[in-house]
Amino acid sequence: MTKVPTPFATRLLAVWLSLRTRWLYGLFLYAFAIGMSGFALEIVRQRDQPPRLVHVLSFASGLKPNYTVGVRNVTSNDVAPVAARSLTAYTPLSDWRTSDQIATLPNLESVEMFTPASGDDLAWLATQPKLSSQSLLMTQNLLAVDLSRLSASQSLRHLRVLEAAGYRTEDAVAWPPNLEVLDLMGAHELPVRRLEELSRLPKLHTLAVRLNPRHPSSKLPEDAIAALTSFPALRNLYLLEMSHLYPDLASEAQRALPGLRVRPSTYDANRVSRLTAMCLVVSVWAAAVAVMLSPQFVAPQSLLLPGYRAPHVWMAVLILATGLAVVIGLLLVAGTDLLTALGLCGGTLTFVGLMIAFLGRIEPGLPGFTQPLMALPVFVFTVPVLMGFLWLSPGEVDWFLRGEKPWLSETLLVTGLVLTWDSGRWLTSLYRGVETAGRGGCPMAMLDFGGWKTWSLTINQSKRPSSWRYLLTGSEQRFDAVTSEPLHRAADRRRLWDAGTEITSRRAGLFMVLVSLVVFAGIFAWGNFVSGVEFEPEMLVGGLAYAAVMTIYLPAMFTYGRLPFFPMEVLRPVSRADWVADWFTMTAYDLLTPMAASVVASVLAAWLKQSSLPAIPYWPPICLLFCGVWLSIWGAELWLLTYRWAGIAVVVALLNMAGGMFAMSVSSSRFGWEAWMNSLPGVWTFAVASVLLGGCLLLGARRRWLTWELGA
Amino acid sequence: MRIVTKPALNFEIHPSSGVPIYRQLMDQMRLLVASGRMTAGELVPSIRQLAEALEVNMMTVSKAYARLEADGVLERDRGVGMRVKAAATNGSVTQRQGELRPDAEQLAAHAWQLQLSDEQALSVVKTALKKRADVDG
Amino acid sequence: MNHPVIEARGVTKQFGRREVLAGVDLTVPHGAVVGLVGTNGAGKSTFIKCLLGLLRPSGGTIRLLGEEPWTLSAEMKAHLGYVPQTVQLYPWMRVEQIIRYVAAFYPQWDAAWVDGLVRRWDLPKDHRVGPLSQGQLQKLALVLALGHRPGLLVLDEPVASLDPVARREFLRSLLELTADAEHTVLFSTHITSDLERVASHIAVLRNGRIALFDELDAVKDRVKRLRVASRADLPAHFAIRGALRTQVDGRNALVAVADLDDALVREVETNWQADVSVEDLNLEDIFLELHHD
Repeated sequence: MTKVPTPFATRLLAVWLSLRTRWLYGLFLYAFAIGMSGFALEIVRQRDQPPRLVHVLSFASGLKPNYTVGVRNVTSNDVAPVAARSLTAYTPLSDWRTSDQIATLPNLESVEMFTPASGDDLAWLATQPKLSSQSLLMTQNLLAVDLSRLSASQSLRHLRVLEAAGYRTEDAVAWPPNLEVLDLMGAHELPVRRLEELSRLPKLHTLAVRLNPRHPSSKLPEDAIAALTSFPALRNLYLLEMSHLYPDLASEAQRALPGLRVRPSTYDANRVSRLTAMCLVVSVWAAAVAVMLSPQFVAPQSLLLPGYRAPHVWMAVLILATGLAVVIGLLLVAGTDLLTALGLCGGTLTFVGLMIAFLGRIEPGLPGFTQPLMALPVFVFTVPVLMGFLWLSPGEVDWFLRGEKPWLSETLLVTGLVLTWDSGRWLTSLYRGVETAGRGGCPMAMLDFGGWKTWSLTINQSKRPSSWRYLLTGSEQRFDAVTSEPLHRAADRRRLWDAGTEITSRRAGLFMVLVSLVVFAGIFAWGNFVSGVEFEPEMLVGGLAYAAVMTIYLPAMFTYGRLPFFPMEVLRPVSRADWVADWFTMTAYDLLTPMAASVVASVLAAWLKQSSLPAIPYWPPICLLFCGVWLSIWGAELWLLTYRWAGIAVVVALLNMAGGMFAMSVSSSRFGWEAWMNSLPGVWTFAVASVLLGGCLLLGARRRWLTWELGA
Repeated sequence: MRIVTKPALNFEIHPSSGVPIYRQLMDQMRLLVASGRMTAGELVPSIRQLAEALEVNMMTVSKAYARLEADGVLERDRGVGMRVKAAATNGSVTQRQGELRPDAEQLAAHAWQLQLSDEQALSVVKTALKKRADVDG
Repeated sequence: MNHPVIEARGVTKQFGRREVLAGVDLTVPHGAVVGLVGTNGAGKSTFIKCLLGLLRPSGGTIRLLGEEPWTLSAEMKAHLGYVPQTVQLYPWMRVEQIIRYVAAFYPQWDAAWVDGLVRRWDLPKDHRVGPLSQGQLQKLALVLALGHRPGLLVLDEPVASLDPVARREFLRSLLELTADAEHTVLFSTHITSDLERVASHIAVLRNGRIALFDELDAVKDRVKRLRVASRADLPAHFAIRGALRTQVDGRNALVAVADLDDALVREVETNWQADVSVEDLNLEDIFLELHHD
């Protein structure tokens, strides 16, 4: 009797069912569910979002899109001679001006004001020596006459007119001579005459205006184009598009003005938010697929069982393809360009390829990267970096989604295909190499860190570590020094425990921060180049703070890797209480380094930004809150460790990612953080609660460590 | 199994036999003394030497020596070691016959199990003895 | 030091509802080399881990030189050596590095001896630990456990993956260590032939209890097999006092007895009109006899 071969579809189904037994797959499903529901929510919530304004000036320091009456950025020193109570940031400007004790506000840097602002107010502001940016909300009749009264200011660099009826007056307007950024987006259509006037400003590099094309084409009038080409320093031009009338205005203008960077002044929030959701979902998705795909080439089953590999590989491809099809379809529905959508496919493939490469590539030339451990940082970093870019420059992202950056789409597509092909080739060679690798054998599971480590050690047995690797591992001389010192104090012993880990979490953290420094610097440099976003140091420092926070999970991960050695180590000549104390102290240091670094960097970023530093009375509770958070993380990590659950690293990393993103959004004031921070009792409550929680967690962890059956 | 020649003595240890190692040592020492291959007053190897050579626990050797001392085969010479006791060497015929007794009992039991008569069994023994004498010349 | 090295009283250990140790009593004197034998899953490793404070007994008490294992002092641990069943060594270190690393913890480390052991056991000094074979790993772990000449050496299946040459070298090293009768060794194994040369005592763990604990020689002297040949068929109620196992086949019977003396032989001869011959049993035979139900 011949055996009827099982249909391929049945085998696929069997693979699907067998996947469900894996915890990793459970995690993947969980993440997928969260991601998809968030995605769906995003779409429902933002179904008919109106186009949003691009914040042309969002990176011009000190200017925020708030509409406050009065004077901002006045320090209390300025008002010392006057009764501080009577003049506040919300006091009308005329009151300031008429308060005769104050001739000038020496530190006034930026002003946002509404009507009624009189011409006298403007003239007074023009005399302020440091005033560099201003937002104005004006009415028609004031404009022509009064804007000229600002022209006396030599320091004014950024000017934004939020709303004004028009500029149709015949009179010439005198503009402040050192103007660099001018945002007239809120105003009605600008006459060409005014453009000629503006073209005489020597330093103007960014201009946001409304210029209507000649109906019915989307082309700007010839004279406007001629005027725009005559600007000496202009680089960025933002045009208000009315998408129902002239959907391609910016694109046509860009073609007509190749020397300028022309962008629409609004962007489609739907497209961008869908892309945001897609990044989240697909990254988790792709990571799971990469993890699932790779062992199929190296597992003994895949070598020995006929008909094992094909359905497994196809299942992975199916999962990935379904996900991509759904998300790309949604993007297309939202009006994304087809080539761009394909480019995004390529980007996802790039991500998968990178995951596979980092997860398992045994590259003798780069011994530091042989560790699958590096996959987690890659995963943890890619997503927030993408999200950060989406937040920083949504207008630019939308420009890309409109299909206006074909070169980027093409690059992504090609990179994705090349990397996929290369990963496939590598996995195939790995598959062939398994038979010849001999001793040690290639580990089956991607998360079998120890197995990969041993395998790479076998392959690199005879190789000397390259010198830069010392950054990660420390030199062997250091190891020799530590092991030859007699043990006098507990610190000596801790140093010795430390030497038992090849890469300490402090070093790994340092390495991650250095890598992120390069990555963030690259992103900002790129952002500056591509989207004209002005580079500001606080962004880099903020990014560093974020990176430092991300390394919080490292102590837990590295201690987890040490668990198999604990039964032997607890029998070294040290009492159990001392041993527990040693590990608690070591993890405390390990955690303190990134936390302190992130706090310092955050404070520095806030200080550079000159705005978001909290008031002095808030500092003690905030410090306390920091201590509480630190205690909680410390206690929770140590507590979780005693359960020896392999998923802990992943969970901590995911939590961490969420925490990091929260921290990032807090620093960019996207949540109601400021309002919350303004309630002193609220901050104290949170601080005390966090310290109590941390204390409980820590005590609980210590108890568990003291009664932990290491032999189990 | 390890044949030791260094202390000019031949001990043969079978650790996996049912006979305790200390008993094997005692039996072989007795045999050596009874056969005259060890003479009166001769130093036997020290406990450590013998234990190392045979790769057995020192306590085992020391136990065997203690028993032999109690049985009057060896005597302790303070500061020097253990010697073969004068009275023990080249024992009387009766004594030497005594050494043979366990083997004879074994033989008898076997013969009984094979249902051989006394004469039939004895003739086998005699043949074996004759063969031995021929080998010696 | 008048405490016994190991003193266990009624030690029990449960994992959930499964009882692995059901009251282990064991007292190990100074200088003893104890072989702990038992079938797979008899609880040898569990008992050893309880002994070292790696597991907490569910009941009973254990004292190592008078100290409770769970709260062993640093001084006591400095005189403790342990090789677990599954050896875990830092895979990225080189062999010489790991030796230096472990040595750094112990003030009384005997570097010269360890050097000799490494050479004799043929361990590659500049190789990384990770890719070593299981047998080499076990040898290395043994070297690391011996290096500080521990007063109490506890080995969990130390020779399971050693080749015959290495096994013999290991036994020799054990003998070197215990030559002064100051060092105590407890090692579990199910390969009884390892025990015969080096062990002074044997403990048999069965059904969560110590079924037998005595000097090895005494055990061999006492546990024997009687071959009984009667003139008539033996009755169904044929029995001998102290029998571990009885097999009857017509006029013949095989009986393993736990405690043989001349009186017993005579008793059997007269009671059953039988001819009795006594057979010596080696350790493996004894082990098998003990495990017949």
